[in-house]
Amino acid sequence: MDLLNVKNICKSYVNHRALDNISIDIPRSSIFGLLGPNGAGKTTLIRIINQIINQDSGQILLHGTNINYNDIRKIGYMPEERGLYKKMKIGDFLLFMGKLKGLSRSESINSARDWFNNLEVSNWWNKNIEDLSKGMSQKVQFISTVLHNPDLIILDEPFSGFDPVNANLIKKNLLRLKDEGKTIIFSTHRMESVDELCDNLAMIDKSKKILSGKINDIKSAYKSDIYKIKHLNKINDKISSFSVIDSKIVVDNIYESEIKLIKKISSSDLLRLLLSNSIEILEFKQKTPNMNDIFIMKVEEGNNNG
Amino acid sequence: MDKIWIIFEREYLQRVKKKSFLIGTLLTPLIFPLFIGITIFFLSSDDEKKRIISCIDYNSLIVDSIGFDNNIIVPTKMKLELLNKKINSDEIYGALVIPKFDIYDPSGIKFYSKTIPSGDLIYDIENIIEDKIKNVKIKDLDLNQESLDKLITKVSLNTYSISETISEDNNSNLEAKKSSSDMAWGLGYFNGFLIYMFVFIYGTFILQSVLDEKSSKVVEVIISSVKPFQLMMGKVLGVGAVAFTQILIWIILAVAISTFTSTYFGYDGSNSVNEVMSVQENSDQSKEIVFGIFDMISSVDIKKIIITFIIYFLGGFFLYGAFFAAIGSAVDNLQDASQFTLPISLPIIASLMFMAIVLENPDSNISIFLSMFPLTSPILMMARLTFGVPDWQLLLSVFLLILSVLFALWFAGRIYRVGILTTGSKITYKLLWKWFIMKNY
Repeated sequence: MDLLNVKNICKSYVNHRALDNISIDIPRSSIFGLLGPNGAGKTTLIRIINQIINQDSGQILLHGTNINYNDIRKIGYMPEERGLYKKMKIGDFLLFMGKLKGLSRSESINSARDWFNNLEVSNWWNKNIEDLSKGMSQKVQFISTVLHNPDLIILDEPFSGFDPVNANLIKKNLLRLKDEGKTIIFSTHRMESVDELCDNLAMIDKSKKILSGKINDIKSAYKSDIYKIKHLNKINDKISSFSVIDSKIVVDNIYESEIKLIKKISSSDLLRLLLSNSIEILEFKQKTPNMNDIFIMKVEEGNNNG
Repeated sequence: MDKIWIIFEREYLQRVKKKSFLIGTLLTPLIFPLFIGITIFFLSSDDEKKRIISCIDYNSLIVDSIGFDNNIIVPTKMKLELLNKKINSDEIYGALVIPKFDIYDPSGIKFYSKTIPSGDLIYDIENIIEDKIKNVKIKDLDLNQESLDKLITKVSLNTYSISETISEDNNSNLEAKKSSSDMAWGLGYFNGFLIYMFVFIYGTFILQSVLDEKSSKVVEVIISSVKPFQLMMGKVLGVGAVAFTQILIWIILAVAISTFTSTYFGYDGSNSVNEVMSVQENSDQSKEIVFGIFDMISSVDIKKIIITFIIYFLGGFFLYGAFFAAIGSAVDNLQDASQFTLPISLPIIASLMFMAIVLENPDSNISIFLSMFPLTSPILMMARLTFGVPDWQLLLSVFLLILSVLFALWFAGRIYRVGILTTGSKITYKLLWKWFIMKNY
């Protein structure tokens, strides 16, 4: 069952088209990566889902029905451009945010206390926001996003500004939220975190969707036929099953080479072939694409076509 | 509505809870007396150095030295060239040359000095010479000084404004209230200026507040839970309530102080005119002055003024506040804001300049127009009000103001919804117009 369906969304601004017929389905209890270079239209789509701006055409369904203004309570949104009121106390700010989402005072206080524990911060209730470091403010922003226990959590570039320790803390909490049945959309142009976290993804470039699906399916579809090998003795060029892309000497007679298959053969066949050509293998690795490679490849493909 | 209230509450409490608000509210009323005091101090202590004016007099009008204020006129037989040198070396301030003339046709009097003398100084010197000539004339015509003194008569006019109802008890007399045109002028100016000040100061607060939310980037976090229009309204109402609170504190303070002083002096403001007049015969001078002031205050309808003030204050504030909010949402920083605040400030500043015209002639066509026109009416209707304004004009003016406020809020809302999410683009009037007409955002 999908939590959110984006159907044929189009949106134009004064001078350009931001989204061109975008359709995305986001399953419940999953982490969904919304990828794309800067200016692709990610933020516009997220703003439409949050009903901050209106689409020109198309539909957004939440739990299978057209989204309406009351659904805002079911969504927690952390925008890329985020900040806090500098002159407020953290407690007052969280109460204010909670109130806007329809939480009572005690609900806000309880939820904030839980999140202070989850994010390993001491009780910050009476601290002034202007005294916070950048990482600390990011945590407060995250807490204000999830304070009202939303079904759908939308994070736009969530890890910018976090040090690796705190980023891991947030990732851990996102995975926990997913296990609790929450759905998380997370938009980024930094692919490392996508590999670790996402179950599904969609890629947007120049206002069009260029790729979508389960992350494992995408990866295997883009599995490369390139191998990295560390070996003794030079590889003979005359083997017809593959070509040597790159080969260099590390020390003495030890080489590091990249080879690309020409014929479709299995990894074990390739290994056998190499050994039979009196090449002694020290390391043997098939190059699997990470999302970054796929991302760059798809974007460049788009640039070439456009 | 609920959410406007939440935004309003935060905006209001954040500002009112600040120490600077309380201090500002209590200290600002002191600034005016302080300012007046400083001005008087400098005026009175002006020209502390005694200025010597040498006088070459061919009519022998000025025989002895004459001192006035800080100046002294000293008759001399020196040549003008020498005096010229003395002026240049700052030994003396100036030289007065009175040529030989017929006292019935004095002309050709000259005054030399390094700097241009003030109008007061010239006026004083002219008076002295006129006085001297008068004395010579009295002798020349063989007049009696005593009978001349008796010719001098002083009359002062008491003005009354007629109210529309005629009291039935003394049916031959119109019920008239003693009015004071000086008082009306002063109160009109004060009210107009107060609205001017508040619209400007608190309008800028709105702009700043919107801009702060935009530049601290908290705005997108907020509008994922609130509609932009609700955010804008909550903000404008919140800042407005702060201004209102400040005024309310001042009104309470003023009433408290005046009640205190009036009980202290034992004067009841509701006394009838006759009683006041009889009291004025009281020999106690200081009491008379205080009663005079209270009499003038009680001559105007304080309740009506306060209610009208509040209406125009709110109207003017919302009208301009909406525009300031729109500007704050569109620009990225204060520098960029100035090119848009100027045209908006222009009618406010113009109102202040037109105030002189309106106070001088409150019933002229231009005054009536300016007190109807919504961009100037908050300041200029308040200036006119104490002189007496027909009810239909007041109602029409308020009606037009309310319409304009509604339009301004709607207009600002359409700019605001796009503006707060737009950063980094060059804002032009054309772009603002495109935002305004954009159907779907």
